[in-house]
Amino acid sequence: MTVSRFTLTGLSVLEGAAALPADDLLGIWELNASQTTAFAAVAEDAAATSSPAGAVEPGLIWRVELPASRGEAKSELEARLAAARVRQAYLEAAEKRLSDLQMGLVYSAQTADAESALLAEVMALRGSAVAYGAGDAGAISLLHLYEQCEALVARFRRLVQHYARVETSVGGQPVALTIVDWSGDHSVTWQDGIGPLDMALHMDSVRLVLATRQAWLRLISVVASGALSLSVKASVPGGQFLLFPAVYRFVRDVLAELEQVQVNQEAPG
Amino acid sequence: MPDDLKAYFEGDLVFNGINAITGEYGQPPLSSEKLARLVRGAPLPQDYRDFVERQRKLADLAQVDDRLQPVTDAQSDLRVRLEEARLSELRFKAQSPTAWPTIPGAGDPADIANVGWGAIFPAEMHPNVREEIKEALQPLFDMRRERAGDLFRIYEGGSAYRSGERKGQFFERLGVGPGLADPREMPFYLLLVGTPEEIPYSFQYQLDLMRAVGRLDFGSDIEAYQDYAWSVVAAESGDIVLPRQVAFFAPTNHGDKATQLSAQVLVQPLYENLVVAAPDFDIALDHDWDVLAPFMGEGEATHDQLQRLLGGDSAQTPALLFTASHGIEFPPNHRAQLQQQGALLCQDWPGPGSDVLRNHYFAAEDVDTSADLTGMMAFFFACYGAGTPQLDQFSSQAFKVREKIAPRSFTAALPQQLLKQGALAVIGHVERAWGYSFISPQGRGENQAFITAMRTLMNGHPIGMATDSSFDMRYAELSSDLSADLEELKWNPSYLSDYELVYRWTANNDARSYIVIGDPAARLPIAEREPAPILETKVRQEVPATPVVEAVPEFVLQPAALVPVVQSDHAAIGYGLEDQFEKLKASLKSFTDQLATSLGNAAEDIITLDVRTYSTADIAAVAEALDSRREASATLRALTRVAFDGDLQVYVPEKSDRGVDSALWSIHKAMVEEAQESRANFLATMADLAARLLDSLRIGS
Repeated sequence: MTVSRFTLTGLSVLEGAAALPADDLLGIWELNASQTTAFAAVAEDAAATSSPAGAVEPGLIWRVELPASRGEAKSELEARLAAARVRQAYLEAAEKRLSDLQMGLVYSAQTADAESALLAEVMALRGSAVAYGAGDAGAISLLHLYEQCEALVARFRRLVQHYARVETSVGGQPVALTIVDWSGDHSVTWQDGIGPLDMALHMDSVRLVLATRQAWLRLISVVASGALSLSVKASVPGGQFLLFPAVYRFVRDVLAELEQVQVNQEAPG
Repeated sequence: MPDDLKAYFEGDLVFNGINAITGEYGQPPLSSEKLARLVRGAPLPQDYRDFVERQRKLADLAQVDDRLQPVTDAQSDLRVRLEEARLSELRFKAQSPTAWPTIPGAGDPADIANVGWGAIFPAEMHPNVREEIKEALQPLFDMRRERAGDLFRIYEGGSAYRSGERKGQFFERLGVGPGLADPREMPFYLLLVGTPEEIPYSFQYQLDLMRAVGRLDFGSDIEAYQDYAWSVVAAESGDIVLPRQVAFFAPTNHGDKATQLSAQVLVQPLYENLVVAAPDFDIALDHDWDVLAPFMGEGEATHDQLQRLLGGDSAQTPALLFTASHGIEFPPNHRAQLQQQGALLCQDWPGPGSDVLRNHYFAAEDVDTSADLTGMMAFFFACYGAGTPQLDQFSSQAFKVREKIAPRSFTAALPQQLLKQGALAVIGHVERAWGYSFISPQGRGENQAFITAMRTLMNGHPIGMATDSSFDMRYAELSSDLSADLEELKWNPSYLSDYELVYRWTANNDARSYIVIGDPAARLPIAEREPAPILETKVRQEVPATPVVEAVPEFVLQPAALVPVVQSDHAAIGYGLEDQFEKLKASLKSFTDQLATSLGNAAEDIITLDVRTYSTADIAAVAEALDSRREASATLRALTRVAFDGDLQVYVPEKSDRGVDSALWSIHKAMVEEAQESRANFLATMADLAARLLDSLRIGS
């Protein structure tokens, strides 16, 4: 095996999951609906697989499939861990931009796109200045956003409901399986005969999963508190729920914006 | 010295190389008298005949007679070599009051921030290949550059090593002076990148005198360079921590003087020295080490055992391995020579004169392909264990004719393979290894260089320092002494006995030829701390367990009983999105309930933190059992339970016959630390999130 795969199985089978992108919003994990055999490679066309009636609800399996080259494997994992740290920093930035948001800055030249869009949403809700009909483009967009948010919350609910199961394979060979429950208990099972580098790779896989979980909780925390504070600022009745989708979109846009800045900085010449 | 060993010593000299084709010594046993004649450069006619016969037999060199010209000049190549090696430098090093040949004020030579680090490429390497290798080694270069700062150098292009250049010429061209290493002129740690054809061994020997030198040579295998770079980075970034365990491997083949000597006079005393942490007049070990009793002789030093030590069984793979054995040699151009010369002959070989079968020796291809050797180091005392020069140093010394013993100079495949699979470095011997290296003419064991090298490594110092303070120092002293002896012998033939001359010549030859394969600044990634306290049962082995089902229950959903959410009129109605609004609100409430429940459960469980480590022969079966909620078969190897009040219960893993399974124990401890940290972070984040959501719900209610 020469290509790494980082897949999370068990989230995208949810109702409404189609409303969400196929990644984990942090750009680290690929979501996969299929319930493949443990440690088996995830087939591209396996998405149609579903749980048989009466079967136990599938848990969440975080699979890290690494190339045989330990150097490349290490490099891949470090890049993903770094990405998780960067996303955490982006979330901090988004939270700060949310708290800095002032109603009076609406549409000013200095206001970034994400802020402008969010403030437009807030102003519209506050004054009920715009009333979309059910078939209007704006309403369809909002509907889609609501669906996304609901699917997102459902994901988090499932995340909270299940322990994390992490499987690592290197060069197609299973290395280890770790289960981390919500109280932090760890249970790791090692394949006999593996060496310290493969052990270290699996440790990094577990770190990556825990960092991702942490970032997701941080994401919803930022959205929830952002929606609440904004609803107070804007005096929108019921705004903490109403603004939830808009703030979620804002956070998503800020993450994308910062990501683009990073890409531009890294681009040659 | 035991009488039987003394008899061996006083008889013919036997070298640590066995010819794989004939099953005989690669270099026939020599009497001391004969060797002395050869060292002096004054062989008898019979010596020629023996030499020619050997060359014919081993290499089918029909034209060897033509190439062997009578020796007309007794002047030794050695004298020329010593001249090139700057005698003043050698003498200085031998008499230096400090162990490290760096300029005063350079600071701790173990730290490349003080003494620098550089890589030397050969000028004749194709630029495309060089760039590919540089790119592959970039992680290593970045790490070294970050630490060494201005003392980091890459010698390439105009500053690369040029073919045929001696060390002195190389230094002069780059403006580097002789004597103490000034890292501002050239770093102390130098990595040669390329084959010994591109940068010859002779250059490496001489460069090594005043600096710490290693070599990387993976040929065109760019991926191997990349893997190696990552292994070193992983080891030095703390990702890899090996248990402090050292093992010894020493065959004693029947009727074979060489291996019986190396086992009894080298390995056993070395082992006995290293089990004492701080013996008088030796380097004290900074930490306790698990010094395993040597795998020696019958039933112990077998091919299978060596395979286990070299990654075939991770529980038996030590951080540091020392072997003393014959190295396999082949006639030049034999199809197996490049891949197998220097392979380690094991106890499985019946003895001299017996056929050498393929399973009698351990070669590169015998390393388990799945073996993970990350972080380990090895020391091979064996002929050709590190490499083979193209030309026979022995014959050139004796006959002034440099016979080809290989189609080209090459690095031994076994150390290369170990480095490809994660090992950081190997110390080994180029050309033949000589028994006189560890025995004085009086029959006294002389293991100090080995002891110093091993203790330096075990204290976590760079491997370049380990050889610098041992074999390089020994080479410096022996060479300068020998130079003076040979000069004196010209005027006073009875100045030295044959025994003494042979001893000095072979010991000098031997000490010179130890080299480092790998980054000379690499160091063993050994645990810094003592093992965690063991408060309870020391051994829990082979405990049938059901790791998943028993250890990780599903969360039970509790009825939501938190904050009721009152529906109210809101702006969403204006968008025709009432349903979505309500669904989202309900979803958020459900999520908050879930969080609260989980936090409540965690609060109950937080009294203890359990970390369990299992092992299994079939992890896929364990995962499948987990999927289907069946019991899985795995063995509980370690368990740590950290109580809220700080009390600790620990069950440590044990191997069947050799104490605690250190590798598993190390990773288990790392997992405990990880679990403690992640739990604290996770619960804090969850509590924060629950509080924020509850605020939302309260306000919305």
